[in-house]
Amino acid sequence: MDKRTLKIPVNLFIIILFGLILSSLQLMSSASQETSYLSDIYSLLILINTLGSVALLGLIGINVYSLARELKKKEAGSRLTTRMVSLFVLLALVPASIVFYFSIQFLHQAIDSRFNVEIGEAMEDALELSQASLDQQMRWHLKQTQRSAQELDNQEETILALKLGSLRESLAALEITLFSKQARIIAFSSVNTHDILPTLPDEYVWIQLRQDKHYIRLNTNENDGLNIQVLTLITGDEPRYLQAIYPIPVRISDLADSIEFASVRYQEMNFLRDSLKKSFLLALLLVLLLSLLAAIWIAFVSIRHIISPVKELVKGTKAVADGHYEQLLPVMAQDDLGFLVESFNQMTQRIAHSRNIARTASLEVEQQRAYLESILENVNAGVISFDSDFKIRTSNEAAYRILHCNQDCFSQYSKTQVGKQPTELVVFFDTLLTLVKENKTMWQQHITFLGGSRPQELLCRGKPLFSQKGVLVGAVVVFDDLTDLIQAQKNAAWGEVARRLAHEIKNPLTPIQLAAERLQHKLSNELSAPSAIMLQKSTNTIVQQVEAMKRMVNDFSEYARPAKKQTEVLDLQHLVQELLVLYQTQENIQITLENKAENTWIQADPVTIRQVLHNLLKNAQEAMKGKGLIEIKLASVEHHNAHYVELGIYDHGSGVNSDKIETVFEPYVTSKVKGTGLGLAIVKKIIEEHGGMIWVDSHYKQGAGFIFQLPCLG
Amino acid sequence: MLGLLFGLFFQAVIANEFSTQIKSAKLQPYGQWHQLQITTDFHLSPMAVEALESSIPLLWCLKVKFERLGLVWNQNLFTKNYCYKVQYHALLKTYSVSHKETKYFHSLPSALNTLSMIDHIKIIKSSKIKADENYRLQVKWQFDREALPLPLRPLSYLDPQWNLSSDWYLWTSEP
Repeated sequence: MDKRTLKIPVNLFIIILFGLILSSLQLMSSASQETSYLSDIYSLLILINTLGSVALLGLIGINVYSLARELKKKEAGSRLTTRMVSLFVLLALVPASIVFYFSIQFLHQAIDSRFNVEIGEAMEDALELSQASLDQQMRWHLKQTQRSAQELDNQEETILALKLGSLRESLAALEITLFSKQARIIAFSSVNTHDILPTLPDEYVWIQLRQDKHYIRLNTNENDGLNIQVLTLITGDEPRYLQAIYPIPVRISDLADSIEFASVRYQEMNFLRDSLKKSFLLALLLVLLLSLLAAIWIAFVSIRHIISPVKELVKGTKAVADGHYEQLLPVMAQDDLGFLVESFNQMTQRIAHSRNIARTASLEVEQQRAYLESILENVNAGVISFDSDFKIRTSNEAAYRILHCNQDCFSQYSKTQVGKQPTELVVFFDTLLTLVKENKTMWQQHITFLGGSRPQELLCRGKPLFSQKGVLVGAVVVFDDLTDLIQAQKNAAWGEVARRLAHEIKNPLTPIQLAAERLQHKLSNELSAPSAIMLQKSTNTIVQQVEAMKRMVNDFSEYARPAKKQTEVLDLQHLVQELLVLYQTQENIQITLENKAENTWIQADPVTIRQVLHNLLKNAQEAMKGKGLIEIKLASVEHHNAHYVELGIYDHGSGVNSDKIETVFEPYVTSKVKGTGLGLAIVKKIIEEHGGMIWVDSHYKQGAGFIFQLPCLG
Repeated sequence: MLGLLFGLFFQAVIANEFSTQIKSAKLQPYGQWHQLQITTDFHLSPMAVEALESSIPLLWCLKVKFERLGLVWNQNLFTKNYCYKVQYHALLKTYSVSHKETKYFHSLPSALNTLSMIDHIKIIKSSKIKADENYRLQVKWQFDREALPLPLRPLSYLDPQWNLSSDWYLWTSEP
């Protein structure tokens, strides 16, 4: 889902913020004037500005915390942001602090210069002068009133009332009132004829009057003018009180007001001097704080805005370094950084395109390699390739199979240089490497490999590999195991020889034998006794030798005869045990059977297998010259996912010479005086006809050891 | 700076040395009306006295609230502020207390005495008071810092010497 959020442009946001701050400060400045209508909300404006400062401080705190976390995580652009912000704060703070310091200094000096001792004393003197002037007038009016009061001593109330008007006029008073002792109004006279009641003294005045016999006070009237209130005692039988209100001349009153206003204003300002300084300090601090905090916060926002493309670039570079070429960075502005981002995007697009082409090519190469490997794995010939340092680069499964080892055996000759190799393999590889290094053209060589259970005849063909520039880049060697093929050729040749011998020799043997017997029969009676004896001996020799030749020819015939098996399922172990019964009659020969095979059931011709066992046991008996131990071991083995039953016959006789191990199964190879040399050849033929294999255990040194394996059932 | 401001603010809130204290306040029947009788002890700080002697007027407002107590909510019967200005006149060497009219006094204590004993404010007609109901009177002397000269105003919130207001005083009638 596409998420869209409304974003205020940073520049507009900054302008609005600055406008608000300036408006707030301007309002505070205007409100600081007493006459301004905003003065009523001065405290509120200071509070608002303070809260604004706190809010900005909070914002800056959040930004600093966020930046610290980015620094800790080593996020892209965090260090550059820190440097820029620090520089900005330093550049803003130092001049602002200097301006602030000197502003405060100038302000204090300006405030202090308005107040000095002389002006203060002059103000006090002026006020005192004004008060002294008024006091003089008050004392004069008091004396006038007291003199008039003495004239009114011991007079009747009615007379006093009648005299009151003229008395007021003579004293030039605004109002004259006569009170009884109990503060009852007896009579009063006023300039204003519409006045009904006189000015009434309060309780404090009466107390003072009774105490001092007179009272005088300066009062303000309704028109904010001044008048003098005088009260004095009229002595007599019945004491009375006379009150007179005198006006102060307008000019004197105005002058007194003016002096009082100026003096009061000066006193007030003098009292407020420290407060004024503190107030200005507070206002200036707020202005400085608000401006600085706003500037720092805006610096954060602006620097983050400026750094944003750089951060994206760093992220993009990391992504490219990690192999993500598809990432396109947003172009935020058409400036230098925008151009840089656009160039970066073009570069990544080109790299991505090139990478795709390379990936496709690599894929094709990989497919080709896999195809080649598949072919190599499925050929029967072993294939080994070498690099320019003549280290093994590749080898196929057939190579491991032929050389009877796994991939680790090749490690000495590969770049990894691990693993242990059999000595025979080392000899083989050394021979191979010598050939590879020496030959600059295609070569072919038969190498006998002794690493297996039997000597293997390997046909090796090699070819050096060159690059297009003619530089040697390695070599490839292909080798085949020709052992079986050579053996098959030998067997076929011997078979043909045996067949021809049987055919060419067997036919004349019977006439020879018959002729010899006839010669003896005809001539024995005609010859003298010594001659007859010699004839008999000769004919017997002929007959015996012909018999021997017949047996030999029969053996050859047997060897050359094509297999005519009548196979059935049989238990090899059971067959061995049956045969051993026949051999247990011989006291000096001990035969043991050790069965470790899990499965000894085979599909075989019991007659021929029995013949194999007879031949091998007979050979063992003869090798031990009639006494000794014969060990028979049965075991289960597995080759190439096929299960075999393995039978080993070990005697303690003279053994097989190592030079004869290779040819012991070939016809006419025997160590016996009377042997035809066909016994083991026939044994091998029978075993191979049953799909098995037989060989001499060259590791067994106490005597001769023959091992054959036959495929087992199940 | 903010730390200093907060420190001063908390100091101002905590300090209560010079505050005005209402000793008693109650309603008394007088003729057809129930009138407020309030006795207050004004204890001015040296700063306030100095300001006053420098002819800076000080203003207190008496906040009065009278309500009938209910089970769920209270019924407001009377709410009013009475403001009194105390001022020194240098030429006359007198103090004045102004409310509806101005009264002059020769000394500050006598001027403050006028404010200390107030018993003429009519709150409610006696006929509206029912004997079987509960009533509550709330009074408070509120010193008006905003009436001070401009340079003093912000600092007065931070200076405990200008804590010249009283707490709310509650008086509850018994049925």
